[in-house]
Amino acid sequence: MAAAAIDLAGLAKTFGSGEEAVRALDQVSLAIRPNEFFTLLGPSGCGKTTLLRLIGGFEQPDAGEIRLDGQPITDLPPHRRPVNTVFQSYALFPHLSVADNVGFGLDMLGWATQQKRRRVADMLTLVRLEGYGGRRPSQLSGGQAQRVALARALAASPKVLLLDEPLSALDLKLRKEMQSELKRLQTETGITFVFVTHDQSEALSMSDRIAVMQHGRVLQVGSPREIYETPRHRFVADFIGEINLLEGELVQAPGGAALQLGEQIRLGLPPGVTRAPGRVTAAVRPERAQLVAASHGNGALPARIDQVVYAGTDTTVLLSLAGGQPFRLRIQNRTGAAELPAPGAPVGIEIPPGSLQLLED
Amino acid sequence: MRARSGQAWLILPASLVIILFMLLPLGLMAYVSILEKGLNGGVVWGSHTTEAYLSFAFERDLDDSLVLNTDYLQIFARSFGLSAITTILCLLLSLPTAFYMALQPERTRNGLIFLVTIPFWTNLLVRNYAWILLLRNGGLIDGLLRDAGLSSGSLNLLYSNTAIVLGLTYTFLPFMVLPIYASLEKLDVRLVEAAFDLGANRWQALRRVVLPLAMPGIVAGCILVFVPALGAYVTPELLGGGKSLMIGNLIQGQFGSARNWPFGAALAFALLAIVLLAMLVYLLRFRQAPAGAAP
Ligand SMILES: Nc1ncnc2c1ncn2[C@@H]1O[C@H](COP(=O)(O)OP(=O)(O)OP(=O)(O)O)[C@@H](O)[C@H]1O
Ligand SMILES: [Mg+2]
Repeated sequence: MAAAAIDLAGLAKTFGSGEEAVRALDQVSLAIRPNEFFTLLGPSGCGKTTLLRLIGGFEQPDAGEIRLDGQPITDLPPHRRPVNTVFQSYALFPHLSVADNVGFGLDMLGWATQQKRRRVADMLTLVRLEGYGGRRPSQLSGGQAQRVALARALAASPKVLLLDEPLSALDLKLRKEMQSELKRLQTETGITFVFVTHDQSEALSMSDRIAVMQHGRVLQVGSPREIYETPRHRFVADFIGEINLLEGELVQAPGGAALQLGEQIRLGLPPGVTRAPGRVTAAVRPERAQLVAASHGNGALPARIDQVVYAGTDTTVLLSLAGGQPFRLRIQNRTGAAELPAPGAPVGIEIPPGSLQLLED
Repeated sequence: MRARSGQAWLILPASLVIILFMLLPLGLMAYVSILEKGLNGGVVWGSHTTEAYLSFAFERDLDDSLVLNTDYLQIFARSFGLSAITTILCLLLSLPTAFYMALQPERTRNGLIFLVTIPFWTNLLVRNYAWILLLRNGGLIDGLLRDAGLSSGSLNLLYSNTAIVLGLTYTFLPFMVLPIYASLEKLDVRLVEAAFDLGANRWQALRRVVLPLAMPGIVAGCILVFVPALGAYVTPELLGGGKSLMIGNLIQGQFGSARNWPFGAALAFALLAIVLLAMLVYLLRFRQAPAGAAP
């Protein structure tokens, strides 16, 4: 089954009108590649479900176009789109058995009974639910219901599978299990997955690419690594993992662009900064900064330790900078690592030039 | 345990009412049905006979031998037939109505429910007399059709099976609309979307998902229409004009002019048995009826 690429061009959707109008999607353009595990990540209400519903055909966009393999599908009703959905609530048919649920799409395509029965059995095997065909949805656990919904959506080999927070109702252990299961299914079937979540660690660990959304807009699209290591927006930086923000002056120094903090401190920026000098915000991940002695000089930020939090694999050090702003730093716990200074001690924070990321607001 | 027995007091008044005013008279009726009939109405206490039940299908000849008499069975058959037609008509009218109602925004829905229940506000007799005015020769329908040149002479609509079915359908329509609407209203729209998503067109989604899930409401509506229609009295009396009898009129006649209390009681019991049987079938078939989505 050839997986399809989806092109979204300038999609806009507003609910309601006048005072109560909600702009759920605002100029969303995305190119989702064939065979990709593509994740829409964003806080509650940012328009993730609305975007999926537009792709599935359950809502019509106010503006813009949706193409599947280059074919415009914007005007097709849901049942004519080779796209299936795993709904947030699973939406299993309560009056049908598990097998009939899984076979529903095949019935609609007019499959012969024999063929259908074999396919249903295959699908149940795929989601590890052999022998559950005779049960009713009400007799399933949350995780099992979730897998039936998955089998049902995959049975007719859609070109694209849309998944709306399929794991949000599961407990942590089952969630981890289903994450790898989903990833396995995606690789095995080669179907393009468009996956919605508001859980950043889920997004980072499963996706080929992530689109981070806020207020109906796509802020940044990239691989998990790009999104995590080179966030371009304050929101993206904040939403994914922990981050320290530093406000300063962008200056052009002999060694390249640098961030001037106060009178003395000047931190080097990664090469290729083209922004005009002026006030900027830069970000650095807690694990990218290093703790150094207070006497380190102008390359380090003077700080004071507030608290040391030991967390097994690593230790988080909470500091205050000279101006009083908090700063968070994470150190891997290694054998034979030096003892950390006690709270209250003056220290320095060194930030390697490649770790500092300029943000647009 | 204590809480349990404390709660039992709550249904005591209702239980007393049911025992005193329903079970006791019913028991009395059952007893009456196996007694010998009195000459001028009433019964001969202490004289037991199955005569009343035999009269369903037989009558005594002059020499006291039993002869087949299908008059009463015909009335039963007519009652079933007219009730069935009424139920089907109500169903056909109610399905689209209930669908329309369930698809409206919430405020409109409440208004529509109110409209459906408006006929309940008027006395049943008044409503039936209104139908007489509409249906009788020279009445509204007859007159309009004649003025339009669509009929010559009289239609003779009134005092016919057609008139009874019209009246019954009109009377019981809300009992069909409301349960179907209730089951459609609580139907999860996401299930319908899931059906569309899996390639079902409108008709397939209706047949494979919506109707099965609305089935408890449809069956409840059918029972709520069929059972009272079977025992209807006022409508066949007024719109059937005594020419087309239904079971209700027959029972009334036995307690009234025919002065055959045991037969009247036996007829009432036969009707009750049929109704209970219908309820039993409904309970067995739909007790574990699925409703709503998976957990
Ligand atoms: N049918 C609707 N009518 C009115 N407003 C709607 C409708 N559907 C969505 N909205 C609004 O559009 C915005 C985006 O909603 P959407 O469901 O897409 O968010 P989401 O990103 O999926 O959130 P969540 O993570 O909570 O599921 C929200 O402000 C929501 O209130
Ligand atoms: Mg959502």
